[in-house]
Amino acid sequence: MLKTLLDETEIRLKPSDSKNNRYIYFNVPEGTEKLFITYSYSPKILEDKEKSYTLIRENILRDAPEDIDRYTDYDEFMPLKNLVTLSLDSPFGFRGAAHRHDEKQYHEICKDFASPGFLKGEIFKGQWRLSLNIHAVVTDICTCRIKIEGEAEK
Amino acid sequence: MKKWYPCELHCHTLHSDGSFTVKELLETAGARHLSGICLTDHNTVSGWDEADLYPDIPVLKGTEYTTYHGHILSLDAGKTIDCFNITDIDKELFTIRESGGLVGMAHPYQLGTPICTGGRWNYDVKDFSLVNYMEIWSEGEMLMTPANQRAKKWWLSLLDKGYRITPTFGRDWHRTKGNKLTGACTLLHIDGEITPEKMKEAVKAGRTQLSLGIILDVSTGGKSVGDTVQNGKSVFDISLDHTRADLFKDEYTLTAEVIKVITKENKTVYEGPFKKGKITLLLEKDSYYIFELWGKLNGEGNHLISLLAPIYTKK
Repeated sequence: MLKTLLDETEIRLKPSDSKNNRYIYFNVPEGTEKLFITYSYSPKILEDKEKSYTLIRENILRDAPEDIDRYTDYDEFMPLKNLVTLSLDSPFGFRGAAHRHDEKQYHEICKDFASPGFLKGEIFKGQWRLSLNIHAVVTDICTCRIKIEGEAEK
Repeated sequence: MKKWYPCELHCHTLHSDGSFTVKELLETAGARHLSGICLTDHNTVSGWDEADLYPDIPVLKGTEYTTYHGHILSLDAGKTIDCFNITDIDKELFTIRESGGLVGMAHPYQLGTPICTGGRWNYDVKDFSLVNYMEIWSEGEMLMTPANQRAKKWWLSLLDKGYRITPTFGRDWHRTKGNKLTGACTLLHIDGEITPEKMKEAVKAGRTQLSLGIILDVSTGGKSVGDTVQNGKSVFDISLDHTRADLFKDEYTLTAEVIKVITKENKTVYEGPFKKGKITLLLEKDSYYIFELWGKLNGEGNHLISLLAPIYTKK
C-alpha cells in the first residue's frame, strides 16, 4: 500500500539561497518498507547570455583575478546551471546523497536496494530529513518540487 | 623492493555525477593500465559495496565532500562529517583523521561557484598537519595551467613551513569523454603487491609521483620519496622507465630532456640534461628535495613530465 509521507511541496529559491540548505522533515510510520522520493527543479540553465557572461566574469575575478585576461572564451563555461542536490538522513543518521545535475530525479530506498547515491537498509520509523543542498542558483527563481511516498505491506 | 604502481586517486561513478557504473570505471581503469583506484564519489559511500564485486583492481574507498567552499577528499574513513554545515574546518578534518582516514584537498585553485560549485578551496585551515595530500595537478598538461601552478606554489609554501603534505595528481575522473593525456596519473611507491591498504599507506607516507607517463626513479642509499635522509653530500641514482609512456605513444609522445631538483623557497639546486646515472647534491638539514623531469610533449615545448614527492632531510 502506497502512502504519501510528504505532499508535493514547492520551494522557491533565489540566488541569495546559494551555498545553503533547506530541510524537509517527514514522518515515516512503523511498517514502512520502501521510500520513494520524486524530485525536480527548474529552470536548470541560465538562458540569459549577458547575465551569464557577467556571472562568469565575477567568478573569475573572485577566484583567479590574475587570469582575467587569459580567459577569453566564456562560452566554454556555458550554460551556467542551477545545482540543488539531495541528501537524506534517517533518525539514525546518513542514508545517502544524490550529487548530480539531473533536474528530474526519482529515488527508491528499501532494505535490499537503494538508488545510486543512497544507502539501502531498514526504513526506520520516525522523523527523517531530506536536505536540499543549494550549491548554486543562477536564475532569478529556481522552483523545486518534492514528493515523498512510503510503501507498507498492508 | 618498491615498485611504482600507476593509480587514479580521484574517481566518480553513477553514485554521484560520473557517467561510469562502478564496473565500467574499473574496466576503463584496467584498459588504461592503472593498478589501483580511489573511489571518491561526491558526498556518499554508496558505491563502496559494489566495488567489492570486482576484485581485479584494488579500490581504496573514499568520498569527495563537495561542500560550498572547497572539495575535501577523504580516504578510508566512511561518511564521517556533515559537509553542508561546516563552521570549523580543522574540526571536520580532525574527525576524518580520528576515524582513521586520510584528508586530501581537491583541485584547490579550480574556479568555484557557479562554474564548478564549491570547487575553489576557500577554507581557512589553521593546522595543515591535518591534511595528508593535496591535488596539485589536475587533468591534462597540468602544471602549465594557472590553477595547477598556483596549487603547486601553495603546496611548496606549506612544505617550507614544515608540513609534510603528499602531492597527488587527480583526473577528477567522471567519464572518458574529453580526457586528455590519458596515461597521466599518480604513481604510488609500494613494496610488494598493491592492495588498498598499501595504497593508503603510500599516500600517507608521501610515496607518490605525478607523471604524464615516463616514470622517474630516484634513490640514495636505499631511500627514496617520502623518506628522510641525512644532510650533507648525497649521491642519487637516477633512472627512467618508459614502459607506461610507450603504452600511450599512439596518443601522445614524451621526450625526457631535463632533470631539475627544487628545494625550499622554490629554489632550483640542480638542473641538467637527463642522463641515466648519478647526481651528487649537497643537502641542507631540515629541508626537502623534489626531483622533476621536464621535456617535450609531442615533440614540442618544455613540459613538466614527472614530479616526485619530496625526499626530506633531518633537522
